[in-house]
Formats: sequence, structure tokens, C-alpha cells
Amino acid sequence: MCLEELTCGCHRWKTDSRQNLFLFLPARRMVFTLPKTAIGDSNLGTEPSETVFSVFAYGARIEFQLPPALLGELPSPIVPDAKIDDRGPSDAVLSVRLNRNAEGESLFEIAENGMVLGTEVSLRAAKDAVESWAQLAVARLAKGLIFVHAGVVGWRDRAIVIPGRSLSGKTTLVLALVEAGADYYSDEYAIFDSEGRVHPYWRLPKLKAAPIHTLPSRDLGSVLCGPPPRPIPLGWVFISRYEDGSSWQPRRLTCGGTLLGLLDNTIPLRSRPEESVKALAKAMTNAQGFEGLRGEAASFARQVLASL
Amino acid sequence: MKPLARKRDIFVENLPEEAVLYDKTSNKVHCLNKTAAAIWESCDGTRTVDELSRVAGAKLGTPSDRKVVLQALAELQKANLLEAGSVIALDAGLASRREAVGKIALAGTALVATIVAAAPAAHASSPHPKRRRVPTPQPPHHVLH
Repeated sequence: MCLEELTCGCHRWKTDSRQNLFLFLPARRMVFTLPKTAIGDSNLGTEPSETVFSVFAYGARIEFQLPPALLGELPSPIVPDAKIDDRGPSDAVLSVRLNRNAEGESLFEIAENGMVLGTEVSLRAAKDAVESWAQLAVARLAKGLIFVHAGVVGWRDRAIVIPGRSLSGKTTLVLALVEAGADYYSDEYAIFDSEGRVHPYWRLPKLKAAPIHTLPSRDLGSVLCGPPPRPIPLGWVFISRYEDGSSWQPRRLTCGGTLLGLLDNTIPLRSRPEESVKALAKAMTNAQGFEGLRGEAASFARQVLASL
Repeated sequence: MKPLARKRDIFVENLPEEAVLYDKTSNKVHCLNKTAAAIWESCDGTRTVDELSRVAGAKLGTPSDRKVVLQALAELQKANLLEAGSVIALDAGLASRREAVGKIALAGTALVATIVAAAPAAHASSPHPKRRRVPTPQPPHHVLH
């Protein structure tokens, strides 16, 4: 990075409370972080009230319009596999407007394409919400891929997919399966291509509810530092609901019943029904589906892997 | 009564033993088991219930059964998969579902199973669910053109 790039007027920047400087260089599609003291104030001009940038992930381009205070809090990348990319029109615009309520508290109003999605009262909550909405937007708008809300692990070169909404226990089950020996693929989305193969969604697992059980001893952080695993064919789909004291005694689902279970959790089903149904039906060609009540995650994981 | 399958705005994916239908007008997904699928496919508006029974039975390789056809038609009608007005008085002569389904040994499978396709926002993660609203975002203006 040279001073010319900073002074050409095409960069965007912000500082955080620790005087770190975040620089966006659209021409190089890169973000730099460095101490503000490394660059004289005279080279920066006025800090913008809003930071605008776009990311490109899975064929979808999302534009962000964020207050500078929020920018430094967001993970990088904000969506797995996302690259900073300002070229071309965006598929969606995710914006955050900073307001104050009658008590003078900060309010972060989050909107997509001008439609308010929610309001958060803390920077941390706003950061979580923006990350979540960004990932959902990409899941909805991804090109040529079908995102199903599900946890995924690899087992014997085939994917185990556990569809379910938020707070249904996907992450806990995925971590238990990884602890039992399966390969981590995703705790949020199963990504299907048109051939029915399942791709990884390469991010650190996130436990949204307080963990009741111990986390796996395997260091997922180091696993995620490596390259993502290759796409694999779908092997098994487990549709389960937690019930205290239950033991896993599943019933076999028909192909169509399993497909319904996947479609019930398919993000772009309404916008791309034919593509969604075709991709998932293709994935089901050599897969089996089961449903039932489950008890503790560790026991479920051991039973499932032993049965496959 | 000569039932006619509603095929407008419906996408069909045929599976080895079933058919999955996506109704674009209601955003509902229906899974028809092989009996219901054979009957729905045969509803061309020219066949009576008895003729449907024979045709579906031949497709499935099973003895024809009027009560099973009536039950399937009732479920297809309820799922809005038949053209309005092409099916009437389905209750007449209709066996109980248990009896009809038992006749073709469909243990554990439904003739027609339905889900409603969820709006994408229903899949939003909820780190702070009490403060969240989940409308479905519209495309940005430039995407509309």
C-alpha cells in the first residue's frame, strides 16, 4: 500500500476506539488494518459518517452501509469465503442506521434494501445481527447453489445432514458428531450444488444457547485454518427433535419424506423452487433419511455413527 | 365426476416411488405417494372414478379399489391439486382413511403430505430473538429492472 492510494480519494476508512485504522481499497479489493498513528491525519481527510463496501460470496454481491463504529467489530470475512468486491451491481443492500431513543441510548436499526429487519441496542448485538443477516442474504441470493439450514459433517466420504431452524440444536449435534470422529463441514448451512453434492460452509461453529455439555476436545480452530474439505455426495439426513430422556430410535423416511424435510429448511425455496427441488432430489439419489426423537447429543452422535 | 389435475403453476419432480409438487401460487410443497401420484397423473378430466381406479391400478400393478381412489381424490382436492369444479361430493361412498389406506398397505406413508415453503426470514438466526422482527426483504430497486 502506498501513500498515493490513500490520497487518491477512492479509499474508505474508519477508526475504532483503539485508534486502529481500517482502510478499504476497492481497486485492490482489500481491507487493511493498521495503527492510525502510522499515517498522518492530513492524509486521511474527514472520517466518513457511513462506510460503504461490498462483498462477493457464493455468486452473490452484498453491499454494506454501516456506521464506522460497527465496522471494526465485524468478523473478517463477514460471510465465509467472502471477498471485498465493489464491481457490478449488488444483489442486496444491508444497512445500519445509528439512532437514539428517548433515553439517549444508541439504537442500531438494521435494514435490507430499505426494509427494517430489526433494531438492536448494543454494538455487540448489532454486530451479531448484521453478521447473521448478511449470511442469510448470501444464502438466499447465492448463484447456482442451494443453501439448506442444516448442520453437516462428513463420514466415510459422504455427508450427514441435520436440517433444522435456529436454536434447534444443530451446532451441538455437529460438535458431538465431530467429537465422535466425523469431519466438520458446517453448523449453519448445507450447500448443495446442481449435482447434489454437499459443500462445506467454512466458519467456526457458533453456539447460540448456553452450552450445557462440554465442547469437543478436537481443536476446530486449527482444522478451520486448513483448506475446506471437498464437496461430497449426500449420504444421510437425520431429522430429529430433542426430548429429554429420549433414546434415538429413528424410523426410516421415504425419499419424498426426506426431501420434504430438507425443503422445509431450504432458504431459496420460494424464490427458486424448481432449482431447489431438482438439486435436492438429485442429492437424494443415493441417500437415506431418518427421523425421530433424540436425547443427549453425545449419545445420539455415537449411535448414529455406529449405525452407518 | 371426472376429476382434472391442476397442473398450472405447479412444478413436478418425479421420484422413484413418489412425486414432489411445488405449487407456485400457494408456496406449498406436496409429496404424493405412488398411489396418489398415479391417480393425480391420471386425472385428465375424461375419466370417472371407476376408470381412474382401473388406470391407477394398472399403473401400480395392484387391484383397483374405488375407495382408495376416492380417498386420494379427497386429499388431492384438499391440497388444491385438482381443478375447481371437477370433483364434487367426495364424501359419498368414501371409506375412512384408515380403511382406504389399509387396503393398499401404505404403512407409515401419507397419500399426500404438505409443507408450506418458509419465507427466508423465518430462517434468521436469533441471537436476540425478543428484539427481532423478521419481514421478508424485497430486492434492491436496481434488481427489479
